[in-house]
Amino acid sequence: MFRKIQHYLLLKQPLLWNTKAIPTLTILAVFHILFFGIGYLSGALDFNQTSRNYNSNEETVVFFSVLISILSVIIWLVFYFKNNAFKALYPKSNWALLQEWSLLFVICFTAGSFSMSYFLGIDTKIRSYYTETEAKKRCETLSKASIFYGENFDAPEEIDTTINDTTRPFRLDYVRFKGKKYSLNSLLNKDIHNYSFYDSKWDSVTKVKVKSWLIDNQQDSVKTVLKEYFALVNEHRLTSNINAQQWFELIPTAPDFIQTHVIAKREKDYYNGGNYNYDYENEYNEAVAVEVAKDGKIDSLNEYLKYIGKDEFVFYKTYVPADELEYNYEKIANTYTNPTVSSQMLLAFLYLAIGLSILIFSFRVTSGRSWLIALISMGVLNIIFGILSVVFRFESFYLIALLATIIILFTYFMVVIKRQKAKGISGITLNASLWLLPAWLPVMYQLLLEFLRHVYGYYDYNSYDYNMGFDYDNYPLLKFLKDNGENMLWFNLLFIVALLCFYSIQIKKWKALAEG
Amino acid sequence: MNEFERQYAELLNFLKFEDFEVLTKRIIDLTLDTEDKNHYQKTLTFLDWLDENKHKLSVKKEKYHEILSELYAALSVKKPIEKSILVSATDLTKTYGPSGFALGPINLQLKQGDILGLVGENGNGKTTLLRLLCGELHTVSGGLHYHFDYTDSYDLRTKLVYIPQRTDTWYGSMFENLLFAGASYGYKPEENELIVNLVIARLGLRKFRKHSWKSLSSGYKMRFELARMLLRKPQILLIDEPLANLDIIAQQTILEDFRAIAKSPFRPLGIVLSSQQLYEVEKTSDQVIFLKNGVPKNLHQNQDSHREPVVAENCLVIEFESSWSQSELAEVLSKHNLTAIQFNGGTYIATFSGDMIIHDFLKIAIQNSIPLLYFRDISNSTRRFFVS
Repeated sequence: MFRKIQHYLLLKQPLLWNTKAIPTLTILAVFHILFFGIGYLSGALDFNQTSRNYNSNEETVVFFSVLISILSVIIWLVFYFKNNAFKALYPKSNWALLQEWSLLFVICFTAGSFSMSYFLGIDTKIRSYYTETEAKKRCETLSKASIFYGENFDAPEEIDTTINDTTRPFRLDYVRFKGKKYSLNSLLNKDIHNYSFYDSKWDSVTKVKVKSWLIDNQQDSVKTVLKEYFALVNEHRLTSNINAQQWFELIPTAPDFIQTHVIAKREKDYYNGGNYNYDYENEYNEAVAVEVAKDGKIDSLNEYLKYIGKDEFVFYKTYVPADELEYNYEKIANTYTNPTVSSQMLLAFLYLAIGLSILIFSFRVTSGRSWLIALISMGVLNIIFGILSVVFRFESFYLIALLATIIILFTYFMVVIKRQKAKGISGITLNASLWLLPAWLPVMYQLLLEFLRHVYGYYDYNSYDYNMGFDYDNYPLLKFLKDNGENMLWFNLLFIVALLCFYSIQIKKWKALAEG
Repeated sequence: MNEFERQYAELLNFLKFEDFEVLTKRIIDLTLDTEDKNHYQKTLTFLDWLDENKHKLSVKKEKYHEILSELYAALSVKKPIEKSILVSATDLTKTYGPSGFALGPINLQLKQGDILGLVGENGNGKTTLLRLLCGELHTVSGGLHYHFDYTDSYDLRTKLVYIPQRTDTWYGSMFENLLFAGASYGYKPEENELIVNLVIARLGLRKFRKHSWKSLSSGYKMRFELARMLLRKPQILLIDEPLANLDIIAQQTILEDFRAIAKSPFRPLGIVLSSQQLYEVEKTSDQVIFLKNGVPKNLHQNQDSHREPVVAENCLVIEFESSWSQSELAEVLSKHNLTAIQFNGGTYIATFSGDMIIHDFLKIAIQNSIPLLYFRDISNSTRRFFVS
């Protein structure tokens, strides 16, 4: 089939034939489907998994995706380099080189972004479980219920107290809620579990809402949340040694709501002589209540020890499968709010493709010799710039040197074309000039940003407010530049294409120049 | 009788004397001249038929006659191109640095259909001149003007096809490479394959269509380069040492091909070729430039002005081989206006003054029974410059 298509293209679209775009993109598309499929399959949620026992093959898949990318680019290049109409001085329109680069870019992007398809597969699978509205609703239930399990107490408030002219922060041994003091071990000092659907403001409001149910004795609201929680537990076939009603009965009561009976987030932990294999990320939050356990002592009210084979485990007397639900619903929430395949990831892959395609394009329009000399020269130049910026201790030196290089290379190239004499060393400088095209705008942007920072006193340590930081709001242009770095990079893609339009026409003129 | 009719009459003679090989090539040339895919198809069908029926002489002649008549009918209504000047160079010079080699000043003019031969020993500037003419090198001084239409300097270079002595390797199938050249030069998809097949047949490469570059001899590589060149429709073909590495038959065939291609009545092109094969080049070329240390020496040009044609020295120069010694020959020939006799690379070069012509030399040889193995009148040949 490919043979027939290629023959057809050879007669009708020689550039497409030469770049082998159709067979290459077809094969690459198959790989993308494959990686998407692998991602889709690995994206399946296992509700028995938690952040402690998850099993991911992401690194392996990414490694193989990179390996396949490299191999497919090499194999494609072998076929692509078989013919070169430009080198042979076959007729070319002014836009032909731009078209060729565009094809290179598409192929490079397709060849280099297998891992994006893999992550997209994962995201798609995870999103396929619930719609965003449904997932949000479920996370809300989990968030509200999280006050009633675990030991995620808020850290005690600190106040500055002056004794003998010395001001020190002192921890309060109580928490204040709606004008009343409560013990640090009270439910009214507990935090709720955050899901990325919601911001800290929502969390605070929800926290107050649930705690208000307790002090207002709105038992029905609490029961509804617990029932909804257990509906999720049952749906995901998870286990708990209590039911919603038993849980409700274990909830500390007024007036102090002190949590003596802990509802654990899991069935058991490996005991390891008292060093429970805690989820270390939550250690700080749990610190208030786990001091006993840290000493290796068992909280006999809530825990008991049990041997399974040779291993000793600490079992919790009452538990709900919170670890599992939190871990999986966090994943779902993150997939909606902060998917792996984000605009930044796309941008990174696009720039990778731009870089690679320009490297191949420059090799194609000049010569292997010029390309190699340019590579070495640019390497040496970079080292020199690096050393000089250290010697001068001037942060923007490297950027200024890079901008100067861009200007010099561009001017030299244009002068060579204008002179209509021999090419001289312009083959080498053209390579370097092409490689620097993606840097034109970012370098100028960054230099302008740094310049404005200098002008507006960002680096002026006398006027710098260490507590507040630099107030960008007073300098709208500086703030605009600081906040729009990513947008600039998106715009830069168009700018690079525009530059390549210009360069493609000039390169054709340059090619016609005499060699010596 | 115009150029086409003259060439057609020549073809009828080839048919009469059954010189089918040359005739077939020229039929392909005429077919390409028609620029009509029906004729392309007919000729290709005819070539396929020929492959199958090589020995059916009477039917073959009939078929040849038939196809020739059809081509004549198609082409006799076309007006042959009036040959115009392609390039002119005035006092062209090129130097490689202050102490390096210097070429020129060169003055030349090349017309459509003309073949310009560059001869000279190695390192005397033949390749430099070719590269100057194709735009690969930049002139130091002098004027170089191309008299055909081109849109920009890149377009100009697409019309100047330079084939260096060491050609680049072709990758992939030969046939696909030629189709790619054809497609790049704007042949319509429906005619590209037909034209490539004709060009391949024209250069005797039908058997090698699917060969790889590495499996070809240097002679066939050169033929494939020529096939590609034909597809590129150049205004000027510049070719460096095309005869190097070719056997004598291949040399003669390729030179004859050059001549036929250059002299096409409808698609003439200018050819500049360099070679060490002096006689072959002289035989094929319309003008010859002998380069010595970068300076052109032309028998018909004034060495001082480089422009005014002058009459060659009025003398007879004979190159010959004989078993006699130099003194024996000198003794006999000195009685007949001999001014010099030199032994040069296995042959003698005898120079006579006065009104001696070649017949006089033959008479002397017969009268004195001088054993002659080979002789040649080089009075008007650049061979004279090679004499030490």
